[in-house]
Formats: sequence, structure tokens, C-alpha cells
Amino acid sequence: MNKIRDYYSTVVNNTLIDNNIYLIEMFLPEFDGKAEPGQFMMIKIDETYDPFLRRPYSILECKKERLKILVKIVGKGSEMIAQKKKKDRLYVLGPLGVGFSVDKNSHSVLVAGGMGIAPLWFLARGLMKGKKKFSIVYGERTASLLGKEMDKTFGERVFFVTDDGSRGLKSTASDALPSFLDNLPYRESTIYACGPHGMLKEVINFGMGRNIPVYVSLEERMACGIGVCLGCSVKRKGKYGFLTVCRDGPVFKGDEVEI
Amino acid sequence: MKIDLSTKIGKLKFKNPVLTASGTFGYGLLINEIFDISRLGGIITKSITIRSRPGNPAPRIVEAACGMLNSIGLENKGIENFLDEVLPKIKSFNTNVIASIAGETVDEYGRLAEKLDRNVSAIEVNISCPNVKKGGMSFGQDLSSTKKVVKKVRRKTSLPVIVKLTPNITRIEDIAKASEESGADAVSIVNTYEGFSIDIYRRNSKLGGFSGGLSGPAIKPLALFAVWKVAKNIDVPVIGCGGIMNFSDAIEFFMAGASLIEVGSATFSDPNASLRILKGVKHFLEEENIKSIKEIVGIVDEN
Ligand SMILES: Cc1cc2nc3c(=O)[nH]c(=O)nc-3n(C[C@H](O)[C@H](O)[C@H](O)COP(=O)(O)OP(=O)(O)OC[C@H]3O[C@@H](n4cnc5c(N)ncnc54)[C@H](O)[C@@H]3O)c2cc1C
Ligand SMILES: Cc1cc2nc3c(=O)[nH]c(=O)nc-3n(C[C@H](O)[C@H](O)[C@H](O)COP(=O)(O)O)c2cc1C
Ligand code: FES
Repeated sequence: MNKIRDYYSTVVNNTLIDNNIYLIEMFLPEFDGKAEPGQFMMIKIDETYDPFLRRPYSILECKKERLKILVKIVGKGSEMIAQKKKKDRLYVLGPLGVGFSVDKNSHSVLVAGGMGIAPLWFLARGLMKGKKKFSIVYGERTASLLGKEMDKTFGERVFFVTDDGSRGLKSTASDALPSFLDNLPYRESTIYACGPHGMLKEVINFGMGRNIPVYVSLEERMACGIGVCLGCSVKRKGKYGFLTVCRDGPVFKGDEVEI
Repeated sequence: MKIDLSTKIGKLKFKNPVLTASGTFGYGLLINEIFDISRLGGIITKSITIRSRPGNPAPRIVEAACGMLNSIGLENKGIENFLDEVLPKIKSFNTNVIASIAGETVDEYGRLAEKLDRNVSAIEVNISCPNVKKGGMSFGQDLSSTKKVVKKVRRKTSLPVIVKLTPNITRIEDIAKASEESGADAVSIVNTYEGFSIDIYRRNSKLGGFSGGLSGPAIKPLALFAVWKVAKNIDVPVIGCGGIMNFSDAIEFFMAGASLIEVGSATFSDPNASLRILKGVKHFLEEENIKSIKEIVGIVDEN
């Protein structure tokens, strides 16, 4: 695992890419650019004590001394991060947690709901670079600019699903998944999913029913992000005890955790 | 100028007065990957119980203005796991390892102390956890239970005994005095302040465990005042804790009467906080021409 460091970073770019969603690129001095898709960073908003805690954000893309994250405004902290301008400074701790490990012998199916795309975007870019075949099932409420961006980047590999039918199939990602898989020309697939709680639950149940391996990336309230506060515990499935989302996860095997 | 940062609890020597608070630093292993924790005066482990505890349901953390509420519920794998799996890994740290213990009964505190005797540098007796149904804070809110727990632990170990007090009581100085009289070598002040936060749309607490404990800068003036009240009433050292974010907060606690301090939630916003505070304290003493930390302990009092 890479060494965890607190980078005093500088915003290089901040672009509004959709209603309430910002793409922020940062300069992280001395960051070697090594991270696994699914890993995340804890971002300190400013030097004041309110907000008190850092906020967890998935790595969208990274390379030497550069990091990109996708920030959706949902409350005070995300709004303050979204308002950062070029040259603003932020402390960024990471890379944290355990990311996705890809099974090279099976076809990767990435299932993303809304902002759940962030860690899967990183995964998909890696698969693309490695010239691997993969598919993405992308579900959202209504056709967004983010979806358009996905279309531009991943083209035919993306199967679009919207609640209102404004792009692709009118359905939800988890409902559309079974027939999507049936229509794939591959014998073995592995599912990598991130999105709302309900979606993840359905995807796990579906995978277990069909004996398809499922990996999910979870979200939980975090204080430390490094495994010392035990604030982010999830229940183990079938076993006594808990695992921490920040240290043991955020990516888990579907049959490992009770969600 | 050579600055003397060293201090003592009973016979136990500390190379400096900066410790990390229970439950905010794990067992030191993870943060040791970020900086060399042997530079600190000591670390205090997550509270250890007799049996493994799964902890409370999520969400366990809710942010508050300048602080946070937690309802972890003493999640830990129990004393046997600590002795077999954790202790061998942390024994080699070149600093004091203090084990925090929490029992559901007086007897459990005694058994925990007995098992830890000779295995760690000292014991911190947590009679102040607000997030458990049995034991915890209820011991620390009652004079006679406090005495029973402290006397029991005292009988079962020759290690220095530190008693961690709850501020959720009218007269913390009385509980501190009772601890001292029952054989405590030091008291830590404070554990978290009981509180909660409501989700107005769900009409329920935002915490899975319903109520929680408030920590962080929000509680600093309260904790500081509690330290001041207690320190002038007892002779054993006071360890100050509550909202310490930087060196000047730490100096305030020393001046109010704390001989040592614990850094808690600050570690969440900056994993290097304890080390940064230690360096800041040393720098302050140098700048102010103070040769020993002991010179400023309890220096502030009413005229
Ligand atoms: C591993 C991980 C990766 C994430 N990746 C992304 C990402 O790439 N893009 C993105 O937009 N969001 C992501 N999130 C969610 C993001 O962290 C929250 O939206 C953000 O913390 C909300 O903060 P706030 O102050 O705006 O909201 P508030 O609701 O005001 O926050 C109050 C508190 O709740 C916590 N909180 C609120 N929502 C969440 C949530 N969904 N998960 C965890 N904690 C939460 C906050 O951290 C804060 O402590 C991720 C969460 C986790 C755990
Ligand atoms: C997440 C969390 C877990 C804690 N767990 C324990 C614990 O197991 N035992 C204990 O004695 N105190 C525990 N505490 C209390 C702290 O040790 C400390 O007394 C309190 O947080 C006040 O200090 P602070 O404001 O610097 O955080 C915990 C605090 C937090 C925030
Ligand atoms: S956020 Fe502290 S243990 Fe995971």
C-alpha cells in the first residue's frame, strides 16, 4: 500500500460540469500519482473549525502530482469545496482505503448510480488503458451533462438508464442489470458497483442469486478516514463484528458485508 | 536552552506531556505509518472491555458546530484479543502505552486491571463513556460507584492508575477527590459531553445510538474550566483533555492546572495534530524562556 500523506494542495481548475456538480483538479506536490480505483481522499475544507471534519471524496483520476475529484453539492461542506477557485489551497489526505481489484479473466460490468460513477470512472479509465473489454450500466434520474461526458469518454460501452426515460432505457440500473447481462456475449462477468444504498443492496442480492461475483464501494459517515475512530463500521455478513469502510473498504465483496 | 518537558505520574516517567486520547488514535499502529509516534509522551488505547463488543448502529458520527458527536459504543475485540494480537505489536513503541479499560461491573474493571498488570505502562479507567447502556458513565456519575471501581482497580494492579472522569455531573471536583482518595495516581478530564442532534424530516436522532458525546473545540472552554476546578482541589496530576487543537490550547490547559494533556478529535482533522502540538509547546517554552513545563502548570488562578 502507498504511504498515506497529507498533501498541501492547490486548486488548478474547478469547472461546473453539471447542475451542482463540479470537477476539481488539484496539484499535490510530491504525490507519486499511484492509487487504486476506489481509493479516496479526505479533504480538509479550511483552517477554521466549522466544518470540523474532513470530507471523503473518491479519486476520479490521478497522475503524478495531480488529482481530480467530482464534487456534488449536498450540504455545507461540499458547497464550500465546490466554491474553491484556482490557486485556493486545501489539505488532502490519502490515498486511503482499499480499492477495486479487477478479475482479469472475466468481463467487467460496472454498475453506477448517479454520483456513484466517481470511483468507477477511475476503474473504467484503467480498463480502457489496459485495452480490456468492459461495460458500464449507468443509471440516473434524468439525462445529465455528466452522462453526456460519459458517452464522450466511454462511447458504446455505456448502457444508459434513466428514471424518466430521457436517455436510454426507462428503468433503474439494478432493474436493468439482469437482462443486460443476459445479452452480453461473455460467459463470466464480475460486477463492480457504486451508488445509492438501495441499488447496492439489489445488485448484491442479484449477484448472489446468480453466482456472479459482486464488488461494491460503500459510503459511511467518517471522522478520521484512516481506521482509528471506528465511526464508519459496517456489519460483517454471517460473522460477528464489524469492518471499517475507510480502512477495510470502501470496496468490499458483496457477500462480506451486511448493508 | 534545554527545555525540560518531562513529567511523572506516580513512578512512571513521561518524556513529554503530550498523550493521545482514548478512542481517537486506535492502538497507534495506523498513525505510526504517518509519523513516528514514539516521539509522543504516550498513547492511550481505545477502551478495552472483557468481551468483544460490536458497537452501536450507524450513523455513529454527526458533525456539530466546531466539533462532533460520536456514538461508537466501545467497539473493540475484547481483552484477550488485545493481549494476544495487539499488545505484541505495540509493546515495542518507545513511549508509554496506556491501556484504557471499561467494565460493565466493578468486578470487570478489576479483572481487566489484573490481566493488564505488568503488560502496559499504566491503566486509564474509563468510568465516563456516555455511549453504553451498562456501566460506563453511570459509574463516574456516582461517588460511591467511583470509589468502588477505583479501589478495585487499585487492588488488582501495581501500575499507575489514571481515572477518566465525565463532565456530565454537577461537581466534577468531588468525583476527582473521591478517585484520589481511592488510590488514583492521576485523573483525566474530560470525556465527552452528552448530547444529540435531530433530523427534523425523519423526526429522529441523527445518531444510530440516539444520544452521543460531544468533542472538539466546541467543548474546550468547558473542559478547561473543569480542569481548573479539579486541579486546585487534588494533589495528584490532572491530565487535561477536550478540544485541544493547537499548542496554545495545550498551554491553556497547563496553565489551568493540567500536568499532561491528551489530544483527541484534533487527530481527525489532522492526523499529525499531536506531534504538531508537541512541537508547538516546546517552541512556546523556548520563546518565553521557560525552562520546564512544570513552571507553568496551574499558574493561572483567581486573584
Ligand atoms: C468513500 C467515500 C467516497 C465519496 N466520494 C464522493 C465523490 O466522489 N463525490 C461526491 O460528490 N461525494 C462523495 N462522497 C460523499 C461525500 O463525502 C458527501 O457528500 C459529503 O461528505 C457531504 O458533506 P456536506 O457537508 O456537503 O453534507 P452534510 O450533510 O452537511 O454533511 C454533514 C456530515 O455528514 C457527512 N456525510 C454527508 N453525506 C455523506 C455521505 N453520502 N457519505 C458519507 N458521509 C456523508 C459529511 O461528511 C459530514 O460529516 C463520498 C463518501 C465516501 C464515504
Ligand atoms: C470517536 C471517539 C471515540 C472515543 N472513544 C473513547 C473511548 O473508547 N474511551 C474513552 O475513554 N474516551 C473515548 N473518547 C473520548 C476522548 O478520549 C476524549 O475524552 C474526548 O473526545 C474529548 O477530547 P477532544 O475534544 O480532544 O476530542 C472518544 C472520543 C471520540 C470522538
Ligand atoms: S472514519 Fe474513522 S475509522 Fe473509518
